[in-house]
Amino acid sequence: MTSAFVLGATLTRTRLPSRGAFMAFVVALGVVVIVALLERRAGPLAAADRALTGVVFGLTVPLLAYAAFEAALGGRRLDGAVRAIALQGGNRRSAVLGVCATLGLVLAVSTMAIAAAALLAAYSPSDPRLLEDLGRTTWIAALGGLAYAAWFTLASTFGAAGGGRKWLLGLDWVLGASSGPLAVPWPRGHLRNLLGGTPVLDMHPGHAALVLVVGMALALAVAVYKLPE
Amino acid sequence: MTALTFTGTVAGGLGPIEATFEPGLHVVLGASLPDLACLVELAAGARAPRRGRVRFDGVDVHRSPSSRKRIAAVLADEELLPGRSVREALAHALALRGIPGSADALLEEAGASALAPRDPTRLDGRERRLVAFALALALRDAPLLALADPLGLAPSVAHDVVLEHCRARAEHAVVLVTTPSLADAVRLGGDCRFLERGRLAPAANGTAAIAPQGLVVRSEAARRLASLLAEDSSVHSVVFDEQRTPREVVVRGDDVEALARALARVAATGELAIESVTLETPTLESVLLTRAGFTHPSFHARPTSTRAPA
Repeated sequence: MTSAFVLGATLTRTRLPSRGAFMAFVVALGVVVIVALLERRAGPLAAADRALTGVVFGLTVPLLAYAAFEAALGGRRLDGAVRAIALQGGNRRSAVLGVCATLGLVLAVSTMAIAAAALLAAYSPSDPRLLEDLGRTTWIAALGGLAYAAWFTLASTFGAAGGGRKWLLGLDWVLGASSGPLAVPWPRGHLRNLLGGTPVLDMHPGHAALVLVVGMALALAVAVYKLPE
Repeated sequence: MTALTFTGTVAGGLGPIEATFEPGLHVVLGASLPDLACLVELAAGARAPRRGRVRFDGVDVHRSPSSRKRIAAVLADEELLPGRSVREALAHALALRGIPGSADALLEEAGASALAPRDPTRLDGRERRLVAFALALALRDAPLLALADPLGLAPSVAHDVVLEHCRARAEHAVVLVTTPSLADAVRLGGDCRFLERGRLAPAANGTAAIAPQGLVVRSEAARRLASLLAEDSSVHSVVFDEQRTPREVVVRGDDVEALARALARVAATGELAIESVTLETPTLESVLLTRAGFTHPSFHARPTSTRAPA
């Protein structure tokens, strides 16, 4: 069946896999493993926490999400990226949902892989906390990947060439690092909270997860609403 | 009434544009390629105007998928749907539009069968436009055709195929064609408008300004042909430069049809073989200068002409 949604997903599947994208993922994985090993050497007690809140969710995942969107949208705005589908009478909103669903899936799986690699490097293989942390971190990683996918979808509707993505990267990095009210909208602070780091506005981790999910849904809804059919 | 309407439309370097295109062939001639490209993108609903609206049958084309399905377009910068091959990409387009048909047959009709197995992401700009043209040919019932420089697809698509397609469709559909070539605008015919500094100039001036003014005739016996043509009453001037173009005669007059008849008469009378006859069109610069009010002969880039004796 050919629909705008399916073609949006196919478009992403066509544009995303490239040698550059594969190399970026391998480099990200390598950096995460090296930093996690260094953290383990510096102090094995909280090495996993430091690696996850630092290099994984503080640096690699946002950058990976940014790079994935740049590649999948061809460095363009969201509506420009699905122009070929719209020109044939396809619904832009459905096409964008197809793009976003595919990118969300890719980012969720990539984030889970990167988080798992960080944990495997930060713990010794015989450490009993490894399996427990792997189980606890997997869903946070999936949620993180999906949250960044939704927020980058919204950011891609701003700017002539989707320049909003750069703004999101910067704002999430700078404001999301704090624990004040300015950190509330951005995924970074809430993911840190879920991983046991400093909470945003002293929020309970359950509430942080809820804020992430609601924020994700809102970002996606606004992005889709902003686009003409 | 079927019509494509631009209302206070501003986009890129265009506008504001106020124009209505009713069924028929409309040629927009301009020197700015980005502006011409932008006009077709707006008409096809591929681009949102910064201000104003573009409507077809009263519906905003950018916001209506069902309207866009009814439009056949060839943009200046085409992008194909995803697919493992051009054949698959074209099949997706047909399926999305709900049109039965074979992608291979369409490509064959447009003379682009060789592209069928190729990776759509590896095609160059001209090849992508050729595929888009193949799809436009398939949309036989489309009430609006928006084509960016379709004669520029030559030699992949013969001029005759494009002209025949545009003229046939213009009988019941709005056919909007942009071109940066004055000669192509003349070939296409129809209602012609200028796109100058982002605005569409009135049709009446444009039509008169770009009308062909003469014939360029190639013949072995160019000298003899020139002297015979100079005696014909329908001929205003004959240009024959024995040094630079010894086999070419440029003959000018008010009516190109009358010039052609005179040529046929003279060739038959003098038993002269004619190799080719083409329309002579003024340069774009001379047209723009005429439109701007510069009518002195020195503003026109023409070779020195010999006035035929009265």
